[in-house]
Amino acid sequence: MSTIPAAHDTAHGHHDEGSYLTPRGPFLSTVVAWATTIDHKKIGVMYLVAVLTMFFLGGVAAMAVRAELWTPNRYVEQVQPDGTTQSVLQGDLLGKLFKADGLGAANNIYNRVFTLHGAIMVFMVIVPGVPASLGNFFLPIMLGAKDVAFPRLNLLSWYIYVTGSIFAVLSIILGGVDTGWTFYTPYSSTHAAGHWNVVFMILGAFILGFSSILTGLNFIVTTHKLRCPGMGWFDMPLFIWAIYSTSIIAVLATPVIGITLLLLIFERLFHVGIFDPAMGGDPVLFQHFFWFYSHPVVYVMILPGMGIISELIAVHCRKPIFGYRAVAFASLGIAAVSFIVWGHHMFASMGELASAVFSFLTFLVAIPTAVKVFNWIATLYKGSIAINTPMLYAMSFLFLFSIGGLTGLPLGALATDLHLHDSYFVVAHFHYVMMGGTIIAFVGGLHHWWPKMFGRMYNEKWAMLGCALVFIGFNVTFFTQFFLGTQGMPRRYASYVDEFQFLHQVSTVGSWFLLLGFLVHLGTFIHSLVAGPKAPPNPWGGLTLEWETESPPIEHNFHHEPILKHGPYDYDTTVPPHYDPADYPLDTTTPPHDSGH
Amino acid sequence: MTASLLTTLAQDSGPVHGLFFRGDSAWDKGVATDGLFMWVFWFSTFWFVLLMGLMVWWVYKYRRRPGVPAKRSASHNAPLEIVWTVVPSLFLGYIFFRGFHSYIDKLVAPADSIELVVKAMKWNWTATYPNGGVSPDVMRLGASDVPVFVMPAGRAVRFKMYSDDVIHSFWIPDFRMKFDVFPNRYTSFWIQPMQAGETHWVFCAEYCGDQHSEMAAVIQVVTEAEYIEWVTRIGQVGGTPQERGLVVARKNGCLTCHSLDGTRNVGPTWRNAYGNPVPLADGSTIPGDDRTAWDNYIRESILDPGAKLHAGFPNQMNSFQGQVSEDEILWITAYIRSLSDHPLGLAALEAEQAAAGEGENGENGEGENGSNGGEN
Amino acid sequence: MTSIPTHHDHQPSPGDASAPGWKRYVAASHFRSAADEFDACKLGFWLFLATEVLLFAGLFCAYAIFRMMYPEAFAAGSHSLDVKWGGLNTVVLLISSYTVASSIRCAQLDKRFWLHVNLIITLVCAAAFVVIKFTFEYGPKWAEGKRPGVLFDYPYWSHPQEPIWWSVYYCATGIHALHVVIGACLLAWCLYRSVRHKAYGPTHYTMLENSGLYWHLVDLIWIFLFPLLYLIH
Repeated sequence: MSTIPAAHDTAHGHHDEGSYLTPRGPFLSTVVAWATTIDHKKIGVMYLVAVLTMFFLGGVAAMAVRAELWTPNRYVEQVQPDGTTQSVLQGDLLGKLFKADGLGAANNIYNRVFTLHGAIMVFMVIVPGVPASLGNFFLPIMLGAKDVAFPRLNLLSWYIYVTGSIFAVLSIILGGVDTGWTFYTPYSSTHAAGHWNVVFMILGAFILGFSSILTGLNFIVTTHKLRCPGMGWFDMPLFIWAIYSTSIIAVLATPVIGITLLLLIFERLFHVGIFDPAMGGDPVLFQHFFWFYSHPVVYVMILPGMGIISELIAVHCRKPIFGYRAVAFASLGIAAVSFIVWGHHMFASMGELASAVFSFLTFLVAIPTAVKVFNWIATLYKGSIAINTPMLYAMSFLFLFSIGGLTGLPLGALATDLHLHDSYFVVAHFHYVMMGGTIIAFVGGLHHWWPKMFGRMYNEKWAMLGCALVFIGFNVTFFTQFFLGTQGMPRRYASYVDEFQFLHQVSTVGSWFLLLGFLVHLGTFIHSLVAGPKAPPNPWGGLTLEWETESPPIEHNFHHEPILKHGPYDYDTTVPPHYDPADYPLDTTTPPHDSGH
Repeated sequence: MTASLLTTLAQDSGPVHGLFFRGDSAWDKGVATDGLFMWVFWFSTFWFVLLMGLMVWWVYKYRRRPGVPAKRSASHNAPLEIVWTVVPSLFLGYIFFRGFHSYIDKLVAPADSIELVVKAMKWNWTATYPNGGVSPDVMRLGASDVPVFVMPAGRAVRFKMYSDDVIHSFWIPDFRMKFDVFPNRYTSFWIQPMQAGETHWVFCAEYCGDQHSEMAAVIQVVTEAEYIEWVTRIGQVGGTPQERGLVVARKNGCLTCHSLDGTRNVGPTWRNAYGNPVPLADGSTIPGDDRTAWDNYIRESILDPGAKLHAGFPNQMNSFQGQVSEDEILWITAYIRSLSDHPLGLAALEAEQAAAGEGENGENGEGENGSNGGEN
Repeated sequence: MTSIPTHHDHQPSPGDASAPGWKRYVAASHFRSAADEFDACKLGFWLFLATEVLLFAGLFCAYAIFRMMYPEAFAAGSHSLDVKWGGLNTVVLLISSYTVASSIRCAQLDKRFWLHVNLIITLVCAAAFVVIKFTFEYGPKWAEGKRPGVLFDYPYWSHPQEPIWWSVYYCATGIHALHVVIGACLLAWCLYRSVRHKAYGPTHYTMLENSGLYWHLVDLIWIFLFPLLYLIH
């Protein structure tokens, strides 16, 4: 055992406390207790539920988008019952569903649906997803702390998240928004239909920003101040490094989108003219402001995913992460460089000099990212690799994220970008990064930590089937879109020329497999909660602190304040907690290497 | 060694190139872009296969066996890590440099280029040629009629682009080139079509609202002689008022939103409209059988689209104040009349024009209406 | 409804209930000591202040770009601001910054009376700032038609882009004024807690210190806004 009772234990180190999930009192008071809880684990679970709900909503929109694109919209001559011929619109599935009258109205519905998909997935799922749910749950435990530094602020962040989401949903109920999630001016400020819908959607994104800022601030302070005795900066698990880097970006970038969205609301309501070319304002200024936030935020989305992958690979291969320091510094390096590459979203609107500078800087950010991938793969070497769902997800991540990263190269190079910009190539690229990276890591992390969070194991076979379906479905859906993009299909099109139909149909079929995969996971998780076998405290043999406590963790995380005795990945020399050294042989034939810490 | 092998592969516009692109680019600068793309593709493929191969091999080879621990190995290796940081960086530097070089080539037009002034608006492209002519030709692409821009083979063509409303983006996939089009400044790039007889798609690539996906155009490449004949012809406007009206309607993109066959689109159809009563959004009605009321309704709807809004249609139209002359309004009115089966429509229009003698004198009848309109 | 005790609840207070609040304060149990908690709160608040600076950085950036684009409009707009009132407000804020710093010093020295006096002066200054801003600056200008964007209705304008200047002016000073109000609310809350619970003293003054920091930030932003808006011609 690596924990010893701390000398100055507080009055709260009861040995009989139950799991944080144990209901207290009747149903209603349990609900109230959850709604007013300041326990980071409960807040993490509440975030998980909220984020997955929004993921479901965004996913429905995504399925609708793919369904609409099964056929292009066409006028077809049809003979009417009275013998006259009339041209009738066909192929506008969403238009028919919502009884849109005519091509313009049908296209408008498609536009609202893809905006819904983008806005929900970016602002409500991928940005807050991993840090707010898994981060909230595990950051304090992995640091050996009882809670985050500001527990009430943490609960407030959740309520702010819900409020922002309610504004976004309200905007959908009022009729939706057709601006695209990027809200480019002057379309969003003066042209887009639905006055209050647009304001509410932007207000929703603005409010969600506060949630990001407060959560980020809370995590930074927690990491600085609440590490357990014995834990230096380079004894922190890489997941913590990733969440820490993410939080720095969130705290520094979000205020800029805050003021931008605020000005956009003023623009929409009072026509202040700052982004309106008709009044001497500058629409490109909006793009600069927007991407100054939204590019760093790409790394807010991906860094936590990278952190999860570091944990998954180390634990399931029982190997120290190769080049721990390089991976940790790569997180910080990515965070730093992410602030100076926003211009690469605007190569088709900037001057030559600015484009050249941003293109160069963009290639710089590729380097730490590549280094991380090399390190993860090198970690596999001579490991003891479990083939289970988390490991399959880690491999999926490496596969998909590598494609996502490598297809960033032709987008970073100026000549090729001017062809690929705003095409389906970009759509495929960022889905490989955002979904193939973040969401795949998120789902993998969920499988990794599920036994710890809910105290139940899940059915490994069904989970692996789900993983396989998601992997296949994802590639079929999005790999085709690279070809669509290079061949000339622009993004955000409700309809297209006949030549693109085959690839669109392949992509749509892929989306059905993707859906099926997620449904299998949903079923597996529900089955696990209802009838899963009880999880042991350390099912995978992990060394980080969350595996020392019980599954699910007790209310105060640890019976005694832990004192760190080994590094997070010292698999060479340490028997994991709750394992009997007799059942857990260590390699004694090779002398231990310098651990690098 | 690796680099030269990759370069060789990239020059082959064979089956792999064919997966990504619909044939070779129609422009040598586009071919250069493809070369860079294929270079990056093979470079990426090399690394991807290497990394994934190692991953799958090691996961298989070192799969967990009961009682067998993970072998100890170095937890880091500085020389190796430096090498795998520096070597890819050099390749990335090379990609950056080639990308920049080829980009400048595509932006800076030769001095003897033909300049087309491209105007973008929701949801249509127009191109004004150096002699002031505007392309009147249209072609069916997807669900919409889109304008055709005729260009001579072998001549450099420079686009000087601006927008009337929101941001658009002028993308010609076959030339591997696009640039955004702004409401507050000009942007430009150039292309050089090589082969007469080809047609090329143009798409709007920056989201611009309802009919974004219908905002396309077609570039038709012809010989120099055919081009000169065509451009001379479009420099002169002629024909009956209704024929001129159709040209004006196409130039201004009216037909992107107003159908000619009775189908509903963003705006009300023009078929069988003239002379019939129109329900308005405020509950009032444009009376039927009233030429003065109808002529004023059309004029006002062009100059101030929000003033009398057709019931059931949101106000999506920009004002054409200052862009369409009074004469052009008369011609469009004549064209809309010619589409109507109402007694005041085509029948009356043709009768008036027959009474006035030759078609070119048909303007007299319209002029009369115009002065009627002025009295109100 | 029975409340569920959690580990965040404070432990039973040491000493008798009549002791001043600051003496009875116990750090939240997930911190190892009150000093740790104080450091954590200060670090958190400094991070929050950084986000506030970045929020205003967006406005300063918009200001810089439009001033570069339309220097005449900005000169003309700036000229029609009244340096007298702007200057007076600067003095008011500087005084309040001094008094808020003094109030923290008084808490550290356990001089509760002077702590209250200083806070009250600060609040009076905050009120004066807002009153001056609205009565003598916004009010007359709005009435003249010097308004932002499409609301601009001033007949004697000298440059067509003057509405943009007014947009920047109203957005920047308006958002700043909102921060003045928020800061004043925080300080008023501190005053209430101090009067009612004797909450701040030598060993515990976290909330007061952080509110004071916020107030300094509000002051600092005005120190930048004042010359940029009033003194550029």
